[in-house]
Amino acid sequence: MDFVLAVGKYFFLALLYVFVFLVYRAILRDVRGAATPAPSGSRRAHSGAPSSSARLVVVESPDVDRLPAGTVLPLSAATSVGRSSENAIELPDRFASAHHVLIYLTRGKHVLRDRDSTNGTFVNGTRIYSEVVLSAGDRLEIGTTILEYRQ
Amino acid sequence: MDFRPNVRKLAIALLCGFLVLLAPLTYWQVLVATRLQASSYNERAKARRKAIRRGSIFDRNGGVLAETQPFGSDLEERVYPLDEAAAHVVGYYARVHGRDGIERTQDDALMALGQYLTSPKRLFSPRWVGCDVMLTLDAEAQQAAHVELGRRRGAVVAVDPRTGEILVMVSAPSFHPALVDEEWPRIRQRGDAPLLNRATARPYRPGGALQLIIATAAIDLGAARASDTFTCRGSADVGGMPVDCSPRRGHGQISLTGAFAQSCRIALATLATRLGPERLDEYIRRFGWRGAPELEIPVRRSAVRELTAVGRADFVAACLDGHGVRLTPLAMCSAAASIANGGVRMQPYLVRSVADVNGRVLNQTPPRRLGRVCSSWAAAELGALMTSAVRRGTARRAGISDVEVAGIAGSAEEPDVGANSWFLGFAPADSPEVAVAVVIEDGGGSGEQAAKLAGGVFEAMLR
Amino acid sequence: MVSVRGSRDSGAQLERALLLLGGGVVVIGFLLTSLGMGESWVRTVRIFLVPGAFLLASFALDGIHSPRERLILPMVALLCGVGICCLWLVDDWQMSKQLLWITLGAALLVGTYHVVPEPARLGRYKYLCGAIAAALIVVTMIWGRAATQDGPKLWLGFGPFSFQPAEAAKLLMSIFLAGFLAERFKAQRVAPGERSRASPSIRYMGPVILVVGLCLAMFVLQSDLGAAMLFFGLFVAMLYVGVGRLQYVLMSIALFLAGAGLAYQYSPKVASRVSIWLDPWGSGDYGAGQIRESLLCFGEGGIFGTGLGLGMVGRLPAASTDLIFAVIGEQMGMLGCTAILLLYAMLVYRSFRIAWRSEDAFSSLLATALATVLAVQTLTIIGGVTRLIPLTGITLPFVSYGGSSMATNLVAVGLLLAISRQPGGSSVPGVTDI
Repeated sequence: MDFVLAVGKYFFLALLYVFVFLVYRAILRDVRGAATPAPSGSRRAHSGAPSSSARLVVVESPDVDRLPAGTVLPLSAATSVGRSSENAIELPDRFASAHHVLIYLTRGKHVLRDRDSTNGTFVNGTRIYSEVVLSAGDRLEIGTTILEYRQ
Repeated sequence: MDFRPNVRKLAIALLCGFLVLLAPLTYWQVLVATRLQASSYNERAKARRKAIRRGSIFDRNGGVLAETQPFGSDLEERVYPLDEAAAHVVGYYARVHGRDGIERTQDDALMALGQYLTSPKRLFSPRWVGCDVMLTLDAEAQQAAHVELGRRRGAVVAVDPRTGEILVMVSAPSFHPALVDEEWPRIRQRGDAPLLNRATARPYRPGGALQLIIATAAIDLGAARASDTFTCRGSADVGGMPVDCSPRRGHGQISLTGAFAQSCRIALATLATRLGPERLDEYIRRFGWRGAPELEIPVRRSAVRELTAVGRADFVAACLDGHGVRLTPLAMCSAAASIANGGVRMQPYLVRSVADVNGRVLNQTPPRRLGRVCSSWAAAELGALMTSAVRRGTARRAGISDVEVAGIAGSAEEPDVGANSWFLGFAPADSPEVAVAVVIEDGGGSGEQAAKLAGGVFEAMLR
Repeated sequence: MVSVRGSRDSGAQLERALLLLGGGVVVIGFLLTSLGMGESWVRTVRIFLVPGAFLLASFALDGIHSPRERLILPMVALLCGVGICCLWLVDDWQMSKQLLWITLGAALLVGTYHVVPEPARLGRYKYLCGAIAAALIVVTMIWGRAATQDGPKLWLGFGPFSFQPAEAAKLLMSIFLAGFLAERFKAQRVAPGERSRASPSIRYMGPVILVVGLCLAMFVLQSDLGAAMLFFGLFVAMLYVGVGRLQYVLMSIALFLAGAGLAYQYSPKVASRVSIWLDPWGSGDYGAGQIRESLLCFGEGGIFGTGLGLGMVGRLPAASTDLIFAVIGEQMGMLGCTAILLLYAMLVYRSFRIAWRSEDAFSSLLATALATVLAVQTLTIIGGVTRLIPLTGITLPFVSYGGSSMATNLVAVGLLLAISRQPGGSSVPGVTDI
């Protein structure tokens, strides 16, 4: 019995270190992955539309001085849109919420997520309550601003 | 949003903190781990002791002095076959009151603790077993001496003069080593200190034991010969100090041999003054009565004042009555043994050898020579002196049939105790095998009791 | 409408694989503990509750389909499991209760994750949180219960239930601090690509200093030095993050040392703690026994430990709460302790990583605060138990026995995971994202 316990003690420690090592390896992978510009999303990248040129174009704006129609707003891996100045895209729109939507990249596709906005977000006329994948040409209504998604 | 670099720096600082924590961990768990495991605060030690089967203690002939035996279904106890007779030497191993004697000083060997903590064998063996300790004691003689001493208080020490092995060490009153925990309060309350090992830790006034020094010095230095005569008229003025002898009328013309045998104070005082304090101090040192003695159980130093530092009156008093002199019975025995061994003093020791559970001897104590107290022919002369002291003198009660015994005896007054009776000597006189010292507290005004007891010990050991 | 369904991607696979491995480690550990203690195997079944709960949580957390932090949950699960194994040796009943707390806590974790879809919005409630935190502390100080005769009053009780408000207060205070700092930072809007000009001046920190100072004072008055250390550490950290200049940090530390000196002079409890720390072997104070036994446990463990279930921790006081790391030290040895330390370090690292990858100021600062709390708490208690610093009464996160502690820490993990619910890549240019 003493023998079993002794062996068990070393085995347990070894197993513990295996766990620690695996976590450490995952951390390293993350670190290295970030050093090189990551292809969007997971490793199984979809061969799909390149996302580097994705953008929003202003179709209608309530304040043409500050945000004239036709303005091209580039989209990055994560773009926040809203009235607050904290956002990547700041909309001078009283009817837009401070933090209205988030448009992010996953597996080569841009996804739009409504961030509990007061007046809601409409894509092609339909109100979005959670998330939707954007396709080229989609019309986004945020407050009284209308934006078009282009690739 | 430029606080992020600060966040990073904060993170690095905190993560360094974790690195720092490795330092105390390494310290406590690697560097000083063994010290912590052995710490007296560590209760686990007690649990570990239970897991080890403690080794046994044997006498020189293999008789059991202490061993662990099962008690009930799952407990163990330590038993002592000799009980009170060897209690002070063997010691005790009590759950509450700890350990003493050989049980304490040889604890590491008895539990084989050193190897236990590190040996991988611990995993596989059914139970760890300590080593056995073999002592130099002779169990039969020890028992005999204890019986002879009976209800009196005192000590008996017997040593093999050729090697220094301690054959008998009895102290009385004694105690039951197996019952130390139960009887502790009663033991402590007793006024006669049963736990005290009178043989090693109770220095006594040796009375005239300094006669031995005087005689040794005189003969060794050639200041006197056995045939020299002294005149003793009962009282005299020696070196400016009045000295009284007993009997009152004196011994008349008496040879050194006779003076020694009869303890003629005038003769001895004359000799002492003739020799002088420096020379006597030197011999006191040679007998080892000044230094710190070594033994496998605790010993106290004898206390002998520097004779050169005292006035004349005290000097004479010291030489004759042992004022300012206190000797342990072990020291006295060692002195007798030195003379018995042709003037060579041997280191007394108790532990003969240590053997592991398979009987393999791990340690064996060799006899160790400590020095020379006098030349061999002086020792022989002294032997003759002491033999006649037994044949015709104060130590006559130590005589036994068939074997010639050499020795001196006397008594010494101790305040609060009374007159101690003491004896030191050896036998057989011509080729000594045993040297004995006996002290009996309150044993009458002479050395008779002690001498008689010594005779009994010689009887037991030499038959 | 079409929404993106997250099919099983590699992150989720990794998380579940690690949870299974960690679960295996915990089950084997529990088995060994039962063998070591001589208990029957049958009771080992209970341990499956821990990896089970966290595995379920892992699935439950994938309702919202953005990539999130994957390494924290398995590590937390393992630590909880190790805690259970140690608790069994110390107190069988507390172990059972801890299983309950872990399950409830896991549920709370999932709940927090889903109930707070936008952690940034919590920032709106910063003043409310701060006020509740302070109120809780005051209320506990006045009406609370203490564990021992003159120990700090740590609990508020309602009938059969009791909890430690200090734990909730630390979460609420984190929200307050993060929100406050975030608001200050908003005043300096940074266009993408531009570096900020100046950091907010110390004057802005006024209200913070006031609130935190108040809390500290209350803790110190109670001699709840553990919570005081924690709050102070959090404050200094957030101060540094907010202001960026080391001198304020040094000033705070100087103030702390001055305060500590005063406390040493005038408070017998503090003086006792310090003298016990300096000489645990000679001191006769009650607390000296605690640290002595703790160190003895570490010594007994040596490099490999005594083995699970074989430690003799009977004499170790507070073995299930403050000194649980000593129990780990005895049973798992230096190797085990180092492994656990590494786990905590990696946990702290990943939490900070969430902080600097988070896209908005409040979330980032909240994550920073939570990571700091985790780090400071762990460092303080392990440092105390190994006599690097004086011993204080706080729990080792996820391992120590305690419902309030477990619940709060798991809610914090839920918050961290919610904050991490990000698409990949930092949105702040110019900062390398590691």
